[in-house]
Amino acid sequence: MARKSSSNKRPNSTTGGGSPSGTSPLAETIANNLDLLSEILVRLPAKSLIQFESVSKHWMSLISSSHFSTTHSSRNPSPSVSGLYSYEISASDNSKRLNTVSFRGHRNLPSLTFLDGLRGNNDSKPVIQHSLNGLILLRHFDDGTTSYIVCNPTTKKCKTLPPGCFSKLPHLAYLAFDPSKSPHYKVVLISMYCVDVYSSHDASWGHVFVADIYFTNIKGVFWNGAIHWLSDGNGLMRFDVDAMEMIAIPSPTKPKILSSRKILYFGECGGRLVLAQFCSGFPMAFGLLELDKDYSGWSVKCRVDLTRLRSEFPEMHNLGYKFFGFRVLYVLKGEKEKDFVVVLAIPGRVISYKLRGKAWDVLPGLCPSASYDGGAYPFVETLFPV
Amino acid sequence: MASSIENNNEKLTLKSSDGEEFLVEKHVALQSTLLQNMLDSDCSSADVIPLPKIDARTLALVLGYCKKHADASSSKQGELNSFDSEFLKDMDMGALFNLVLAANFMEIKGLLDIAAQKIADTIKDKPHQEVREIFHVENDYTPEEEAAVREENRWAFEGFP
Repeated sequence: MARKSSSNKRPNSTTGGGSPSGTSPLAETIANNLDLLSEILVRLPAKSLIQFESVSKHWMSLISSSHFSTTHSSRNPSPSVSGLYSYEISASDNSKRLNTVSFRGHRNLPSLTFLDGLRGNNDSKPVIQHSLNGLILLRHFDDGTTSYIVCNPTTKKCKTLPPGCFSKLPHLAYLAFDPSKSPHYKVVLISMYCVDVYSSHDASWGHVFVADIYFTNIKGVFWNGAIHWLSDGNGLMRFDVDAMEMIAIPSPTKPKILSSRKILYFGECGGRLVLAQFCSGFPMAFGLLELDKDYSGWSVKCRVDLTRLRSEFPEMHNLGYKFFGFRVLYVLKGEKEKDFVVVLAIPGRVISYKLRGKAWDVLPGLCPSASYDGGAYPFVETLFPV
Repeated sequence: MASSIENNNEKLTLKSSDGEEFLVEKHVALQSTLLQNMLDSDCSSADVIPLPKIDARTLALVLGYCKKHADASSSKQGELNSFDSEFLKDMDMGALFNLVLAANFMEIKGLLDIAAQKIADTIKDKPHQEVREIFHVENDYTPEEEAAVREENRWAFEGFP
């Protein structure tokens, strides 16, 4: 490239259009060009966009439009977990109160008080069943009928699912979706003989009969298009949500997966299924295992010994009836590739414990009592429309 | 595209909004889908292609980007990435806005991507009042409405004035 003109002013990036008056027509051109403005805004994290809804009514309507939010969530498919929702249980009357745990300093999680509008006739509240990729699934039992609600805490949007013919048998409820693959979600209800599936794509329920489901009381985990459960006897079951098919996965021989009461955690972390189980004979130690992508076997990633942590927090000696002195609430990847961070509930506190370097932080929010039951629901910021 | 390789030494002239002319090798100009379409449809028989919306300072930057990326076949992606981040480093909002508009007009997707990303990274942690000023957006909320929207999303404002 050569300049033909004799002008000798050099392109100077640091002063280009620097004065406010200089940028004004430019800025307006961009702000008035919906495609260009979207091109910029779609690259912002959901939390910034929620703030920028306060810029103007025009920005509000752009950011909250379903076209923009669908594009944004497909282009930002896996934001990191910024905290947990969890129920505190009152020791006096056993009532449940929703609280939060924030992973990033004192950043708040969105409150779910907007759900209060859905309270039933007898003041019954919807209860969280599952959370996945930024959506929360709630069950509402009111006046003898059960309904399900899907909500996005980031956008405060929620949708009560149409009534289905779901089984009268007790059932477990899960969300199934992956915003990187589809703009639609599914809700899966599993009972002894039947699986009901709601698809947001056609807003209707379907069901399939399944035989011989034997899984443990450990909650299932959505990973790779299927919900996975630990089954009795060292194996796994998975329900392939698109194929509507329950599949038993033969158990790898080694290492041995212990009985469910020895299992502290089953979840997804860094694109793999992970499991934490006690080390036999060591009440303050557990192993962290990762499942191979082809289900061929578990590999032990590390052994975690909390003896030192207990000497720092002696209340861990003081075991309530549901505590082993600690509970594993969540496992996430650390900053380094092979590092893990384990989020632990101990009496009165929630601790994040970095396995490498054995460093810990007390996280703000939730204050687990002796009757705390450990159910924690990860929150991620997303604009995904429900 | 074959013709562009054969005629690698061919050059064309681009003219900025403020009248400055730039002699550009054809394979560099082909980074722009707009120019490529013009060349393909032979609309470029004119001696000079005017770009009435792009000033000389911006056009020089755009062509610097295009040259680096056109010559990149021999260089590595990592090198291009570091060129891109160096290219945008210290650029102020006015220059970035100019680049985004130029990249959008000339249809240079890679440049549009990095410039839009740079703007997003710059405003990501700014308070919304400042973002409103940067984009010269008129605040059409009443103070009560604005306070209500903010109150509804209080968690997202944690740490902001």
